[in-house]
Amino acid sequence: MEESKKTELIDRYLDDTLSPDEKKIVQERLETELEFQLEIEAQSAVRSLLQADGERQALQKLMDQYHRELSKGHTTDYKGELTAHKKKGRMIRLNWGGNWPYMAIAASIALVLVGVWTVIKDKPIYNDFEVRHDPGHDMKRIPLLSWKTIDHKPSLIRSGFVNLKITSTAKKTLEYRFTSYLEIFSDSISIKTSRISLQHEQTTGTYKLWIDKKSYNIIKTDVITPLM
Amino acid sequence: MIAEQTVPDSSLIEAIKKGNDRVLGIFYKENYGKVQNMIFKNSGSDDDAKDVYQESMIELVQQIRIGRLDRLASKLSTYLYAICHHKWIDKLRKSSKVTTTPLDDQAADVVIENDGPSPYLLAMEMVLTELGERCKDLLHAFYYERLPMAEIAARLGFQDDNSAKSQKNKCMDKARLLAKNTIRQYQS
Repeated sequence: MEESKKTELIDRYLDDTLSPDEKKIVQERLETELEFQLEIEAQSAVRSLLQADGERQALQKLMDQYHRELSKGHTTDYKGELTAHKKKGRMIRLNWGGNWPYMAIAASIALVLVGVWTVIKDKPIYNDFEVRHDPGHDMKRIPLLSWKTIDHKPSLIRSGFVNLKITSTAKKTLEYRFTSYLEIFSDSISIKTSRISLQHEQTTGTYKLWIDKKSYNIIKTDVITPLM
Repeated sequence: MIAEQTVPDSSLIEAIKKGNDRVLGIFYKENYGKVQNMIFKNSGSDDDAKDVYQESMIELVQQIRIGRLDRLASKLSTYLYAICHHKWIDKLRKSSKVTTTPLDDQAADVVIENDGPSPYLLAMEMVLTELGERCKDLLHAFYYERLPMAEIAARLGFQDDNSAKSQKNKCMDKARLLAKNTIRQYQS
């Protein structure tokens, strides 16, 4: 049999598209000709190889796409995605437990704060008036993480820093002022013992100030405002 | 009584098996940093980290697709880390940078299901290499992408679909001959 015809016959046999008569002839040959059995086995193996190679190429393309996204700083949490598939339309509770990039950022925040704690000193409380300092003087940096909500999940867009000043006051209530830098007025908070960071949700334009495990929604304002 | 084995990441494995590329992408991005860190600590570069990670991810997905990880007792991220660790140590050994395996607690406890292709499969893979790029592209378009002959002819620059078809058959004839020789070699 001519080789090219043989190729097409075997393909049709493997695809199960032979006519009943053709099928009968092929089966008879299979029972009697060892060489023909080997031909079919070989062509079937080549087709499997091509399938596996095609799948590998498609996966490689996907991996390259993920890597490009990774370089651009796209991060999110697959647990949220899995929840989203199960509970469409419901609010997703995010779990950051296994999120490596997030943990790495958290670790860097911790390192920055250790550095800051060792430098900052509490301001003495003189009286009921706030103690004012020249902005830029005694200023320390705290982490500023900017997030964007994509498909109900926050994605870190970039991380940076914002200048923070803690001003001691005799007032018992917490207050802040947020202009080009953040100022916290407190009689108890110390950068030595508190972990402070700022989260910026770009989608809504809101800021969340974290002091240890408590968070406060804040806005940009040059008026001294209570922290609630 | 036989205790049923728990699969901590069963829903993740199921999602990847069903072809949820978005979940796969998130899983990819979540775990790269840790593997990159391990490779940096063991004399590797950024390119090494990317290559080892991508090879391991592809292997992981292929194992998931054929159901080999349906009963995975460890977390999928731990399993992926172990594959990367083994691959990187293997590469270091081959480049003679190390002679012993550095200990790594997390990777040490994980049993990897598939430690690489068999010699027969490696020999079979050579069939595609020996075919040459043009034949491989032609067969890929016909057998994997299942494109019509006219489209294949236009893409690969054949005069018409008949000449593309004739060349496709010639390429498969050659591939079949090479594969037959490999089968014979491993049968004896």
